[in-house]
Amino acid sequence: MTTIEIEYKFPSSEFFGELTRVANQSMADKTLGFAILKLGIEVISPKSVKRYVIEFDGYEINFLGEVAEFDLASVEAYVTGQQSSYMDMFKDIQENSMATGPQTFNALTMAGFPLNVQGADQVATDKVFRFAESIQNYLDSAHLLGTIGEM
Amino acid sequence: MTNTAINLEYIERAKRGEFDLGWLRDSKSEWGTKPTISKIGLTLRDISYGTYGDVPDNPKRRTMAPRGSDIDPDVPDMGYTVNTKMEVWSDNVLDLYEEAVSRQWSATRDIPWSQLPELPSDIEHSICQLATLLSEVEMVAADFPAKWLWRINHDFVEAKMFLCTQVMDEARHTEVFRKRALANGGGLGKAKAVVEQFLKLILDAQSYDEGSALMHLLGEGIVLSIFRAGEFLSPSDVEKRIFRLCMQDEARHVAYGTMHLKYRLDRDPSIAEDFHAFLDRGEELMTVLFTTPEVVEPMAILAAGGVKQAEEIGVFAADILRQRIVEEYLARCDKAGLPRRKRINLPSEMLTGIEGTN
Repeated sequence: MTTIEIEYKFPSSEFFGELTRVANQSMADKTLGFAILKLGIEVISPKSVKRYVIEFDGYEINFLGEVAEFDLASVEAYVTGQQSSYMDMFKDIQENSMATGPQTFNALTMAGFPLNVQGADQVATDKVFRFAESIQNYLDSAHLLGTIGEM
Repeated sequence: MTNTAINLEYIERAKRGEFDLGWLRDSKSEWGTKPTISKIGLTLRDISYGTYGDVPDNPKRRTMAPRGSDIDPDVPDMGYTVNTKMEVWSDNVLDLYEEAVSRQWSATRDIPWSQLPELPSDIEHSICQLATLLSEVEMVAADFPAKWLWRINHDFVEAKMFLCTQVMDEARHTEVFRKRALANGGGLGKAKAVVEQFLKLILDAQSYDEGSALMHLLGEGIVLSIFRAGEFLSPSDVEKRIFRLCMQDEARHVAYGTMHLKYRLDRDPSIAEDFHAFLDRGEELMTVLFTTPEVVEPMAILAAGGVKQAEEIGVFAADILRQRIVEEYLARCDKAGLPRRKRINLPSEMLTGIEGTN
């Protein structure tokens, strides 16, 4: 039997769609509790700025697709940073089956760099950290994907 | 006068099958109405329909009778002293209660204690001192709501229920940091008088307004930033998980405090000066905390990776953290409608780089 390893290009809708699918499998046991949050993810590269929206909807996660701009009336907060910073994070996750040391979501956003969380106001920004463990769990699910390559 | 005498005649009638059934015939409930159940289950918001969802601004009674029930006219007065909705309410309190209940965790079960690595002495000392401080300060955030809970009118039951979740959260935080201090061959460190003075200020607050501003907005805002920094600086994945789980809880408490203050000020802007005065005093003590070695140095050493390295970059790391704490606190004050950038009671040296403070 031949195993075909799929490479997911980051950033892309295919990548977030598949990440969401595998993350939902670990949400099924409900141990982290429910999460309700619409979170934007902005990935900046020399070639482009890409924006995606993830929805934590109770015990499910939905990938809502790529958008041209974030509307902070509907997306409560977004994460922004260079593509290379995200790639370093996913590389660490794939190597260790989870983010470690300075590559956790909170650590990367703590000082506002290399990633930054931006909400419409401080309550919206704080809301992201009410679900820190759920977001980390979502990102850590990347270790279940095949190879992650740069778009 | 409430009639509490035993009705022996009723017992005889009931034996003959002659029930009263007045409670059944005369029910004033919204019989036949059903809530729509949310995806996550039947929530408080789902059952806030009709009159059951009406939370009075100034309840007529001081009773434990469930809001919306058919209440005897001669129920006793429970002696509540917080009887105005705006004193405790926030628009997000129903959702925060549900979130809190759903996201509970166990300091015994959910922390991988057996994976704690042996750490260099200075790092273990630093994490133990930080754990000592956090174990000390977290319990006031249980004591304060507990002190006020019985005084709050039962018509604001959702706010009381949320405060009950906070009491449980803070008990768990006290537990997890005490466990961390004792789990790896270190132990408890120093408890400082200045920290106790800040806790006393909260506990001795003359009103719920005063205590909530000092605790939910100022104190827990600082602690939320410390939890975030703690996760960032953690020497192992064990501490990282501790801080991540704690930060989720703390962010809920801060969300309540900020939105409660906003609710309060939206309805009575004239009271803003009182809140400014509460926070003036709290910030004064915050300044002392920022210059207390037992508070500052453990995080500087954790950031730098050791005492030796801390001499070079530790102060820089502490400055970044302090700037973050103050900026986030001021942004919460902005959101609540209590702008303090021109009034904040910190020395100018501590405000470098913070927008709108000069």
